[in-house]
Amino acid sequence: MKICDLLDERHIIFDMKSGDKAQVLANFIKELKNRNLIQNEKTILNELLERESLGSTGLEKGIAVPHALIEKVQEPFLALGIVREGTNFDAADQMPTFVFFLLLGNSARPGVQLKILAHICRLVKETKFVDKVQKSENPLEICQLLENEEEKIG
Amino acid sequence: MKLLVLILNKVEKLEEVLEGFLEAGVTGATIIDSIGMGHVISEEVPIFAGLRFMFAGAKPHNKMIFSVITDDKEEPVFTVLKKILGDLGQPGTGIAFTIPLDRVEGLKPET
Repeated sequence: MKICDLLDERHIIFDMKSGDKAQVLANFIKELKNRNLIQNEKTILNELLERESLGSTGLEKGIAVPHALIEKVQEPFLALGIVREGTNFDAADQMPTFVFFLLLGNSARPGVQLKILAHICRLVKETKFVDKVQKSENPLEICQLLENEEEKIG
Repeated sequence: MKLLVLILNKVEKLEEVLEGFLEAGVTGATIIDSIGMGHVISEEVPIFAGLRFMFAGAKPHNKMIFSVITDDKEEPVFTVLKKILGDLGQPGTGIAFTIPLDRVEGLKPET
């Protein structure tokens, strides 16, 4: 399992606006739509918020992984957004969240989503990916960083 | 000799299973309270809450039953397990398997 292949430079959004959970997700989705990376943005936003209603996807260490299963998303879609000043995303450790991995998967293939989520959890726990992302200066650097950190966890 | 392992999700069937073991000639076993991965992942790790449906049927607790059995008991044990538990392939029922053992000490002789 490698997710660096899913994250090219266009999927990385620097300097997202802070705000509450709904605003951050709405801004994230809007920017992805502006880049023509997603369609059905209303459905996606609703599904993301629906998932958040089950419990926050904010992990520890300043990262959240908002995710949803969408019927019309054929292949796993991954994007990364950074809120430099941090935002309250109801994280597990009650600390601000700075880095967002947004994950969309096909609703008929939840097993793929489960694998990617588990991989991201391990990446966050076993590497310094989040710290390093916050210090990154451009998308290419983040892609290389992800590749390097994934190498460490096999 | 073989090690019989039964992960019993239908814990309400424990007594019947042990009675079935006795009928099959298995007179000793070790029983451990256990918990399944599906339950932990879906109920205790919040990030996976949205995928709970993938673990439907996961019981909060199960029992692991270990027993060292002679080879001739294997078929009778599996036969009686199927009678008591039905199709083990049904979600939330259990998993049973045997492992060949190289060396065993400490077993009481059969009476």
